[in-house]
Amino acid sequence: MSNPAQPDPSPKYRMVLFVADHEPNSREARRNIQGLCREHLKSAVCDVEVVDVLNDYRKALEHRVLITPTLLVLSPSPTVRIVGNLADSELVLSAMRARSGS
Amino acid sequence: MTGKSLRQKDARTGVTPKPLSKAAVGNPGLDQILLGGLPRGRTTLFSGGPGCGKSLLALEFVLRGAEAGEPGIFVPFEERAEAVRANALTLGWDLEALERERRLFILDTHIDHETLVSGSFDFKGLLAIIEGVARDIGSKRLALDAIDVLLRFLGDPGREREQLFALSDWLLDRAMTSVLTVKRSADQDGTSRYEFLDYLADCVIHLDQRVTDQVTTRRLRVLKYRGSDYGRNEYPFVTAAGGLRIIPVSSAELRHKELGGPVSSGQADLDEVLGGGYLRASCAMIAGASGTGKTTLTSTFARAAAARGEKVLLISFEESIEAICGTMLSSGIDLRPGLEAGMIRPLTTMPEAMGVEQHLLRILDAIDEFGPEHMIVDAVSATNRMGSGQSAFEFLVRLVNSCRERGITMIFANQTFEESRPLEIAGQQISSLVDTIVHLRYVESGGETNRVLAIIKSRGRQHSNQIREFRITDRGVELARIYTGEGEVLTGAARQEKEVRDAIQLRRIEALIEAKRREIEHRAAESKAEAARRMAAVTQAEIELREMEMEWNKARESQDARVRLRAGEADSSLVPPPDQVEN
Repeated sequence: MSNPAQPDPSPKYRMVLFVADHEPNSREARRNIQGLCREHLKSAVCDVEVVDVLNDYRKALEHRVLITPTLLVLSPSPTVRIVGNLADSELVLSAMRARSGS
Repeated sequence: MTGKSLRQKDARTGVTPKPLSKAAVGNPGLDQILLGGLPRGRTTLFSGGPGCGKSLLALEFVLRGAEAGEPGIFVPFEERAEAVRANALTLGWDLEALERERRLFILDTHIDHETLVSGSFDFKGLLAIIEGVARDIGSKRLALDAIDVLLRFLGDPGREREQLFALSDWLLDRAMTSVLTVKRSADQDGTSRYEFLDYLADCVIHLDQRVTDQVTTRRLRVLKYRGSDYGRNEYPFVTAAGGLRIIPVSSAELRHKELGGPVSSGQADLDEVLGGGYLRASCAMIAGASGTGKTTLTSTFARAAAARGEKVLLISFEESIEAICGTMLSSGIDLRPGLEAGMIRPLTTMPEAMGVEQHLLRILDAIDEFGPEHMIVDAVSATNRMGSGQSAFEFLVRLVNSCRERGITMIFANQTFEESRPLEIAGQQISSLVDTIVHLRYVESGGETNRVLAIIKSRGRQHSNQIREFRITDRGVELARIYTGEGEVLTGAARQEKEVRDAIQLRRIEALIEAKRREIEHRAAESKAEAARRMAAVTQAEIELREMEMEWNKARESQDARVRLRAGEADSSLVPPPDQVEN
């Protein structure tokens, strides 16, 4: 957080967050990705779909999501997979920046 | 864990124990060891080092279930689903056909792209997928292959343990019969990182792969099985077409057929020496040095059996069947009709060509396919070249047990060396396996070398302890009477000489016997006459006694009459009538 540099203003992020109901890590991940988009990716378009694996196992199967929470950043490509409650926002941000061509 | 304590409580309170429900693995050898299969609805652990066959066994468990109407899910964490399908095909397992019928589901866990870790997580996604698929296909079985690969992702032994406990509980609730496989790697302190898995599972099977004497052997051992007994040995196995082949062996566990009736050795004199012949379903060993005639004896047996319409499996580790046929023909033993009629089935192989397990498997396959009454192994001593002496011994134990179970008569040729005893194969005592031992050896006497034959052992039978001269002629095998005087065995010319001397001696003895017999007859007749004489004397004495008694009574009567006359008329009732007195 010491370096809150803004990513390129143009990119559009398409993400899927796989959660397991209201399990603590899943709640945490939801909160973290919302905060991230709101605070650090203001200029970007953040499209986050949340999938509850307990309700939709087929979607999890399709993306081979064994771990919850899992954040899939589908675009810009290549896809990046980040597992965990996304507590390390710096890691998440740098991974996304690396894919936004900056 | 709760399952265990409940069962124990039942035992303590004396409640009739309900037999554990088992799910057959579908591997006959393993099911035999597990006395039926894995604990149904519970978790079993297959552990072992890399390449020991645990993944294959886990896959077989799911596959056989699917074939038998229990759909299953296979989750490989180390391999891609494509690789699993391809490997299975090499064993002749068509997974895709079962997948199409929705009886089998392979969950591909492979991820091509990069994965980053940010914060804590768990495996709810995996469980949700399994649960969803299980519902869809009605899955009864589940195998999680290389669970250690999944756990390693957690990067912390504490969390690994926590997640495994969660998984274990989840599995128990789903009541699917499950198998977890885990690679065992000892840490610096020598304990396995996943040792605690042993406590979570109801059944633990350890597999390993060892190299001894340049021979690789895979083995399997059941470490525990809650609520069930199991085969407690280490069981070697091989991977062959059709999957893992495990041939359990423990003579104590196996129920052998009783030895059957006699079966001719093919040579009447030998049959006589053997007390009627070999016994069906028994194991006879023909031991002897090179050239003593072991193959001649086994071939004599094979030819005769084939002529009777009995099938013989002829396993040769030394020579081709053509070579054996040619050699035997010069001894007047024609194996060709038996071979042509399909009554003799040759199985020739070099001992070095493969490991013990493959040899055993090949032979058992031939037995199951051909269904022989008898089996010849020429020579069992060659098994030593399959690897270590120990593996040769194990090979024989298992071969003998398998044949006994099937009621097959075994005739083993065993090549011995000058210094070794006939019972030994490379220092391995195999006497407990063998019912009959025919020992062939050379003896020198009178400047000749001749072959002799002796029955050293014949379990449960009357057999001759004598040594016979054993001759191989162009009309087959002949046994000649032998002479055992002062420990010496005579053969050849010396025997003929002795024969003449003995014939004279024999006649002399016969004459003596005849004389003695007559003497006995005379004495018996004398004794009879004497007895008759004495009997007559007794009878005479009895007659004399009676006459004396009668005389005495008459005298007494007349005396009484005189008394009455003197005393006038007395009470006549006091006087007994004369006839009563006489009696």
